Amino acid sequence: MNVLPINALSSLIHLAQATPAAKSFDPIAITNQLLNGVGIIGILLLTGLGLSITFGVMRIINLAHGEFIMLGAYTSFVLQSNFKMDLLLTIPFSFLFTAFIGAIVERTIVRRLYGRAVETLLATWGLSIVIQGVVKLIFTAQLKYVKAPPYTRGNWTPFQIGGQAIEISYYRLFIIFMALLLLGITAFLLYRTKLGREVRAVTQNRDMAKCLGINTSLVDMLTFAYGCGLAGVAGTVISSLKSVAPPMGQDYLVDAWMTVVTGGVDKLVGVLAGAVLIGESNAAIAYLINDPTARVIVLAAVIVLIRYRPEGLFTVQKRS
Amino acid sequence: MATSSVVETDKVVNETSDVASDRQSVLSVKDLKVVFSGFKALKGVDLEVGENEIVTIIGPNGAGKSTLLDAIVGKSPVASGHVYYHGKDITNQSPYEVARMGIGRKFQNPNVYNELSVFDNILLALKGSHGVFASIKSKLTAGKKDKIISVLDRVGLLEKGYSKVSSLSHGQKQWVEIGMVIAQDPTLVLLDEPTAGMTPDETHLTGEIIKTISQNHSVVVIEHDMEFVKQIAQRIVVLHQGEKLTEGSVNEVQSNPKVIEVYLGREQIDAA
Amino acid sequence: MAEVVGRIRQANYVPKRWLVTSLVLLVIFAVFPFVAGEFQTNLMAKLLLFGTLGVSLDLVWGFTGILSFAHGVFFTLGGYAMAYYLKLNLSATANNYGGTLPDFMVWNGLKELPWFISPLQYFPVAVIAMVVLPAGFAYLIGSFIFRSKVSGVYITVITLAISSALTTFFVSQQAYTGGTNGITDVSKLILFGATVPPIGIYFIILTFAALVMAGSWWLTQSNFGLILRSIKENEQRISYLGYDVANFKIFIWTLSAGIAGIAGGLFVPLNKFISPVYLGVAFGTQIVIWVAVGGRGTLFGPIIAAILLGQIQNSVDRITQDWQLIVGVILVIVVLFLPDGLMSLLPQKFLSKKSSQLSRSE
Repeated sequence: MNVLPINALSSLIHLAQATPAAKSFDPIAITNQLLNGVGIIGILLLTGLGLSITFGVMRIINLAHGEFIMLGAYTSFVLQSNFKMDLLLTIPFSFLFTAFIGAIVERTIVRRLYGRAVETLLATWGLSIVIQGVVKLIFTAQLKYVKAPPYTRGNWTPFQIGGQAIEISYYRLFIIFMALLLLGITAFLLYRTKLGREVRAVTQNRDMAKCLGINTSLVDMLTFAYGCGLAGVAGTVISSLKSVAPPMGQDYLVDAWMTVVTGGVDKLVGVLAGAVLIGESNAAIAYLINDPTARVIVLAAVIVLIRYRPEGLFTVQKRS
Repeated sequence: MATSSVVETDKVVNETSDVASDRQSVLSVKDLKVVFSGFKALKGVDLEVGENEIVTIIGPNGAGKSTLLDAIVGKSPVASGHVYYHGKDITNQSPYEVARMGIGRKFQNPNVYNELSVFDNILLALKGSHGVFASIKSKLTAGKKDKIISVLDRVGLLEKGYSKVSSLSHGQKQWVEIGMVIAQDPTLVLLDEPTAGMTPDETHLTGEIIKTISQNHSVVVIEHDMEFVKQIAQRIVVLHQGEKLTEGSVNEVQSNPKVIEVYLGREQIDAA
Repeated sequence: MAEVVGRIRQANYVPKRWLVTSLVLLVIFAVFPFVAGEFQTNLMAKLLLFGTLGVSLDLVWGFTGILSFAHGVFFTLGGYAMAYYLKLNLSATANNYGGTLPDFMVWNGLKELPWFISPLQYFPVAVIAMVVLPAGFAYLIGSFIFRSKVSGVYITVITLAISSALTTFFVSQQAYTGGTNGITDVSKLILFGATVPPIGIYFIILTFAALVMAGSWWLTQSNFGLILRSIKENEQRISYLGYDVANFKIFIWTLSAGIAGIAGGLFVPLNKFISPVYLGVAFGTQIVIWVAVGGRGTLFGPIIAAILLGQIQNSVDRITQDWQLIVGVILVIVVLFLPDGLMSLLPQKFLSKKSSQLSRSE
């Protein structure tokens, strides 16, 4: 309660010192700012993807989503500080560890509350406090730092115009690459595999799926665990952007929710659309005015959007 | 889908069944169309309901019966066409505005407050001012209590007045909702399958309640049970695939070859 | 049958048992500061205030079914109104910067008091603002979101966005709001020419809490309360009975925000500062937790939970800093095993008020 959540989006923009402060309509500066937006898109996509599984597919309101991101970041921290592991190599471990915790949570808490949205929301909020508390007990509240892989340092400069460079940091490219890769893998699993078909069958008609011999209880657990695992990977990828600390997940929670809700939760492409829309409008307004104003305007826009299209931008309207 | 023969049947019906015309029109539905993301649930339906008249709507599943009622009360958006109530256009009005004008609705599955007592359900429906401040100032007067007692008595639930609705049987819940509609005291009563889940005796009793209601209210009833339809029916409207197939008296409808084909055919064969 | 008719005819609203319980509790709270020390008096005042804030959320959540994480926002808006008054009051009498400007404005280079803050130096204006500001803001939001098909979890997401956006806004407007630190070092509350002592603030808060409880009780027992509970169970059905659901939601939402605002205003003389922390999602959730743990749809629940959790925190704080962990565990346990909150532990006959209008009168 005493820690003021630092905003994930604006702090990321602050990291990009390459952006000139001048508010002129300089095409180079604008391009660079839009490229900054790409980094934000990557973060939103990474953090929102897990939610689009747990909320979008399973309709579970998981307020501990941010804590799974945090657990992923700590997994990488532990592996890196003890075994000097490359950040990239810690990703599978983050995934497995957070997915494992997710499976336990599904079995012990979420399972008892299916169909009771508010209770799920409260219990997962309680869980988020517990996870933060436990991590704080083990690692203390001290900030930890995770090193980015050496090959992601520096900027990529595709071309220069009149002495001014258009550039984007390799780390940003790494983030967006990872985000799109995970999106692709998830889409493949969900739409092209037998397991994915079963997941969709269970969420659309649980009773019918049971009759068809699908082990719905196992499918539920695996789906929830997968969503949590994605959050863990997101935690690893963004861990080296800022410090790693117990309350870090909170910073991403609200933004991840906005992303998922904006795009619409029925299709996986919704989360991509939401991330692009929020990421780029945030970057553009931040360039024209400033970061906090950008955030306020984007959040206000999201509220208006939910008001008029609660089903999200990319969802087909159905008969009530 | 609309074959010429269906259109012809429609014309014939319009000439023969002008029962409503000598009464004052309460509800008049003109060429109503309702579309759900491309699916045409209603393809231009007309319906006339006169004062103190019972109109029964029948038709196979998916004919658009409930959708027609939904469109009248403002639940489903009307794509084109009009709904007139006492000559006033009420197309696409908010449900609460439609209700305030005097149209009461009972839903297909009893749509009642399970967590409240039977008494509270009736109290909520009771005719009167439904504004925010009126409800804060409102007192449970002797007059209201008497009115609720009479409604409970009429639907046979007086002894269950204290019970939570969730503890009642399906048939009793149907009666709670019929009681709510009576308490609303609307000019026009729309009943969607009021006897579903009732025993033959309960069904008969419901039929008698509906007949009493129709002494000073107009009633539209959706039903499947042909025995029940015969008990209450004055005029029957047959819907099929979002269109009006025919309308007329029980005999007219039962002898209509189109109706026999799409709806009654099976039953008559079964009966034979 | 005649018996039922007789019971219906005699049905009325006299709630003797609750009246007696409330009076006993009121006496206990009135005696409390004379028995406990100043620390406990201040703590209890704060917890009573938090509990009352919980009651205001309970009106919209427990009774009407609208889960809001934005009640901390309404609380904080009321808090800032009072904090400006107390700060300007202090700055006018004793400050080291020459003018009448609060310190944080001087540090941020403001030369004169902004026109929209300046009226708050007058006590009546501040008192009115502490209600009207949050209530007006809530009315605008409510009119916007409740007149639409949006409901359930999406309303909750909207309240998250509001909380998050306002936090960012208040932090960024450093010159006007004091930024992250908020408004600190405020003066003591002076009423009728005399400084109000801690015990005085305690009794102001106790009076406020008692009034809110009585008013909420009266409101929720009325026909209006019955309509709120129907909205909670099924908001569509009641519109087919001729009720404009949006009006009812907007009314209770605005009223609740006004109560939260007063709570925020009373919080400042007690807490000596207000900051954007109270706008944030974490504090908004804290309020939700008080209601959930105490019991949704009960009036005493949030107060009991706020006092209980606050006292646990107070005793645990001396041993460990990790009391939040304990709150988390309590929340999970309550949701899983005690979904109706602590109030459901009371004997059933005590809870008759939760059921129907008729059983209420027994």
